[in-house]
Amino acid sequence: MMKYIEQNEFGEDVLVAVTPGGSVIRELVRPAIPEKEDRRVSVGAFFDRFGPAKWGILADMSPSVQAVIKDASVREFIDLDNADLPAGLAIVQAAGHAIDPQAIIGAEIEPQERP
Amino acid sequence: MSNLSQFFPPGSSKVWVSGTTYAAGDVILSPAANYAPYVRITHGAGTTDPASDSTNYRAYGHRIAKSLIGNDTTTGTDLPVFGTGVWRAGSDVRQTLSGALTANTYKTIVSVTGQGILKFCGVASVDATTRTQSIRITIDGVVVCEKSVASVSAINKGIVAVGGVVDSASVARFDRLAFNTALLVEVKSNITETDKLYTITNYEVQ
Repeated sequence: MMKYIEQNEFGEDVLVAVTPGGSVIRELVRPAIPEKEDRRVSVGAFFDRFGPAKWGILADMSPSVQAVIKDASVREFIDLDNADLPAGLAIVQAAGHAIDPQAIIGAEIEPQERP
Repeated sequence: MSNLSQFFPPGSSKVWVSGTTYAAGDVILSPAANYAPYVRITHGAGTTDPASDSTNYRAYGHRIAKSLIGNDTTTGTDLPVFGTGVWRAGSDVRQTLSGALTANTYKTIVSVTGQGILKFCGVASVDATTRTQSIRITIDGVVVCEKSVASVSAINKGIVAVGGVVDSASVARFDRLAFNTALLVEVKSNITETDKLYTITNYEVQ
């Protein structure tokens, strides 16, 4: 396939591709910047991401863990991209709960987890 | 079937000639419709091209669309929202900003000369500025779809011209709109602006 760039009337790049079959494709070359993914989950879904450790964490009355739980509970949703989240999960982990912060933050969001 | 067999192989078809007598079942090529095939449903002759003679002919085989009939939404309140899922990796759709737009003037985003299939095509807003969005799809020189929606005032809201979107999951649903000789996708805004609309397309060239 032969490809080359030409300019449209606005001076913008247009990719021209000529296929072996003789078709001529002209596409404006202006890829949109990918929108930042919405990584919000409901509070319940966030706690579910703790897996089997969830109940132990929720029952943990230590001040530091309770602070994390309360901080999460008062929110309408949890933004997994929130910069403060790793620190909160580190507190829970330091309290002896077997959680995987990387998985909690990084796992793909299922539709049912949306707030 | 003997009449159909005269249509195959290529080269054996009859081009319609005014005044010639054809038998019921004969497949005739219409000069007025780019030699598209029509089947004669009555015995006789005529002076009207098959493409315009529905009394004696029926279209034979697949036809290229001349008009898309669908949702003719005219306000911006109930448009689909093109969420991030539409162009998530693997969704196989191309997102392209409009570049510079002159108010109320269509601009070409995609132009193909050849044969292919348009599977998805839509336009949406990049920001929340209130504007009128328009999209026009031309197939083989015929405008098959032109949609304009006023008062769109939300990011990612827009028009699906070909295909569909499942809002809750922002999933693109593909259609199959064939073109034989040319495809043209154009968009416009009622505002002179740059990169404030984007199109989402998926098509194949054959």
